[in-house]
Amino acid sequence: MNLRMGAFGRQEAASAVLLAMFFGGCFAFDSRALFENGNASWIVEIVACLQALLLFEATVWALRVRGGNDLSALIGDSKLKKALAAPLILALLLAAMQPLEGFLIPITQFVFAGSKQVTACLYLLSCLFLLTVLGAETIVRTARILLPVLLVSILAALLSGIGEYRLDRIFPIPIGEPKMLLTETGSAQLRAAPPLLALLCIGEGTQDRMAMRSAGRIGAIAGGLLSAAALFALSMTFPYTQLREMPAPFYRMLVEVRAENPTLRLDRAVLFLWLMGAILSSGYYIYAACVLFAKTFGVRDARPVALCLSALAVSLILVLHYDTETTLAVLKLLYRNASLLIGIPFPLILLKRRRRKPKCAV
Amino acid sequence: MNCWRRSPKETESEGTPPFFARRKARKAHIRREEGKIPKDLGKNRTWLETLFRAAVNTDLILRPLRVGGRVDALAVSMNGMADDKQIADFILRPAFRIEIEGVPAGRIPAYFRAHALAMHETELTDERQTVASAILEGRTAILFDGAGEAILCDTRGFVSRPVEKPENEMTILGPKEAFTENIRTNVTLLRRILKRPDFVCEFRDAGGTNGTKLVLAYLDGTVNPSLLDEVKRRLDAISTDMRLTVGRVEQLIEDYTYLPLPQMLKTERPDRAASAVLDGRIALLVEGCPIAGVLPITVGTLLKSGEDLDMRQPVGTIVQTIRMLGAILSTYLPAYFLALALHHPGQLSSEILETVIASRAMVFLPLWMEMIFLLLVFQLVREAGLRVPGSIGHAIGIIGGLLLGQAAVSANIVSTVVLIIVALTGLGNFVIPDYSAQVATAYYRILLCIAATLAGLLGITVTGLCATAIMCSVKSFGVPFFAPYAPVTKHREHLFFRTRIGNRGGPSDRSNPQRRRA
Repeated sequence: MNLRMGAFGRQEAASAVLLAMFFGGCFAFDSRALFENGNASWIVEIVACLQALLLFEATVWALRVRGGNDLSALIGDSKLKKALAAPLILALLLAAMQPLEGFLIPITQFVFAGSKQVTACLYLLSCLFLLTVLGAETIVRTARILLPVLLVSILAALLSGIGEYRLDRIFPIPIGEPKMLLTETGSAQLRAAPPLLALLCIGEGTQDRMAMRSAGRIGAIAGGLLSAAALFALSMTFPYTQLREMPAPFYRMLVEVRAENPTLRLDRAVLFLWLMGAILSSGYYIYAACVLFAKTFGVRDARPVALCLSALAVSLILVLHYDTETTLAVLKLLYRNASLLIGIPFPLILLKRRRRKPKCAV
Repeated sequence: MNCWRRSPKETESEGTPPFFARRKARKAHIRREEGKIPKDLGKNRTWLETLFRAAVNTDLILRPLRVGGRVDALAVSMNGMADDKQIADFILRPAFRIEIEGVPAGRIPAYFRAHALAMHETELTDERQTVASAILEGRTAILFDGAGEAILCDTRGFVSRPVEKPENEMTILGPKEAFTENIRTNVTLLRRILKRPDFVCEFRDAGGTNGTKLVLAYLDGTVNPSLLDEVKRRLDAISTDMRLTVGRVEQLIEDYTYLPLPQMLKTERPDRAASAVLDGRIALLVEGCPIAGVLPITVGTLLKSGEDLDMRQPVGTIVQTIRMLGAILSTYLPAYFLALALHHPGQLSSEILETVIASRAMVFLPLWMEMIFLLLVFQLVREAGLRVPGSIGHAIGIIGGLLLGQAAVSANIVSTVVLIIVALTGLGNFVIPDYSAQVATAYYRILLCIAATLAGLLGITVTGLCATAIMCSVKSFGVPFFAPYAPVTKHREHLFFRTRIGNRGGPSDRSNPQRRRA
């Protein structure tokens, strides 16, 4: 099978998970509910990360018990389990859309005001094609190379805005609304679980199960903390009433910082630097989805699948931007019920099939 | 046991019918016999005269002689390639004096070699092809009547360039010797640095009909054996009539033909090649080429200079940091400026923007065209400076840089701001130590400028990410191009900071050697 998987180490895989966790966590598709009665974004992010980590640990444990290095080993030949892989592929695809969609708004509305989404999407698509065709090894290595630069830029952006932060803006914290928190944590699974799910899909490329587990843990904890810190910084910059209506809040935060420092006009440079991370995260998800698809349904070459899924993800983003009512409604429904998309298939896949006892000869 | 004597059952078991197997074996035997030196000296002379076109090719010297006054012989050499004095003193003179009475005709070559030849490097052969190759290399072949063997004596004495200073890889603190066109001299230069019994210089035919020799230099027991086997396998596959150099051999054995970046380090400095060998890499020397190829390489190899380790640590760190910043600046500055000026002018402060507008007031070319035009002119000046001899080359650089730039500004073809950016870019480009990497960066820079013109920072982002991803997928003979950063290896090599020199007990694990330090 030509899966273009390659081989990669713990640090590379952890870098990919970290970037995916950060860029997935910071760009929620439908964030209005997070700021309905206060700012719940950073709390939800931490809880969702912990949930995702638990799910990941359970899967790695199942892999250790039953033998195997990736999720396809758990799916095996069972037709039911193969069918259950479909929602996971869909979850990965939706997760791939999230960061790209999050960046498309500032690009088309603020940076290139009045430009068409199609044009921007074509640039992103060319990059996605290349990344997904080159395979897992390239994606995780690129993530490892870009990680220091991205980390420095993220931390610099967060630290340079310290003068603008006000602690009173984080209130009210909607701790007293467990129902809302539960629903939002479920939705946040589409941001927190896919980086680890993708790692489980490409686990064959890691040195062994232990390296995969270690990479997942490091990446998820570091990425989760970083995205929670970024969301916390955001909530200290803008009050929740503004965030509810604000498109591209992170870009607005960078612009606010720039306004305070007129000599340091790097907001767009930083935005596009982060865009690299977002494209990389999307490529990581799409490639993982394509590997899961190829292994589950016996496709021998991953490249056509990668091209199709990349095109599909970008097309869906475009559909979302052109505001087709039905598609928007369907996508919102999927995002709302993300917990079901990941939460139902996963335990079923982890379940061990009972072997029938051979009938005794009479 | 000969092949045609095998039992039919044995042959059938291999899947070949016995009849065809016998025919094939007979033909092979005939071919082998044709390749042997005949005992008749006349036949040998005719063969050599025909082979080397002696009627028109006057370079071939066929010197008949009578060994010990009894046996006819023929000393064959190539004029200009062999040293006449050595032939006269160490072959002809003893040949006339030797006593060979009672020695059977078939044993004369061995007897002559043992008792008459006062030469260090001699060889007995019965292969015609070996004799022909040896003559072409400058050795002298002695053929005897009645003996199916020839003696090959090393009389190579052609004129070659002495060891000189390196022209392209200047250093202040490092050694000042460079490779020459003579492969033997180059091996000696390496051996003078690597005085170790495990240092192997493996001579091989480069392939093709030219008979060019090449040398694989490595530390046995240190170099990765699978890498060595793979390199040998690829070298064996070379079959070309082209004149071979290190650059051509690289292109014949590399993996990624369309990648602008080199996959082999080309150096003219023996100390740099020796350092690479000590680090578990392989140095490749090709006859007639004053450059050594080092493989495998990583991006760090291309950005490091030979004398980085000769400097003190803080100074080395500063130099390395400046070099890295220069390389990054030279790659991204023109494209970034174009992107800001064309698509994101809000990112430039009003003072800079005013300066740009004022400097471009009378310029008729669009900004992007002006930038790409100047970048191409810079390449033009640089190429012209390289191709013309020494002092004129320097003059062209000065004329191109000062006069042409000044004239272009006066004629309103280019603006001063763009000229300054291109000049900074050019300076930054020169800090990249490797010439191939410099050229590759220059063309990548133009690609980035086109992307920046089309889509501003979005174009730079997409092109930059694609280029990084491609470089991350590239391997130089199995070693990832971005090692030791991705994949991360145990022995780190900092691009910005120079690490302390400690007592190192073996090579680093960057090139995945067999023996590495703990």
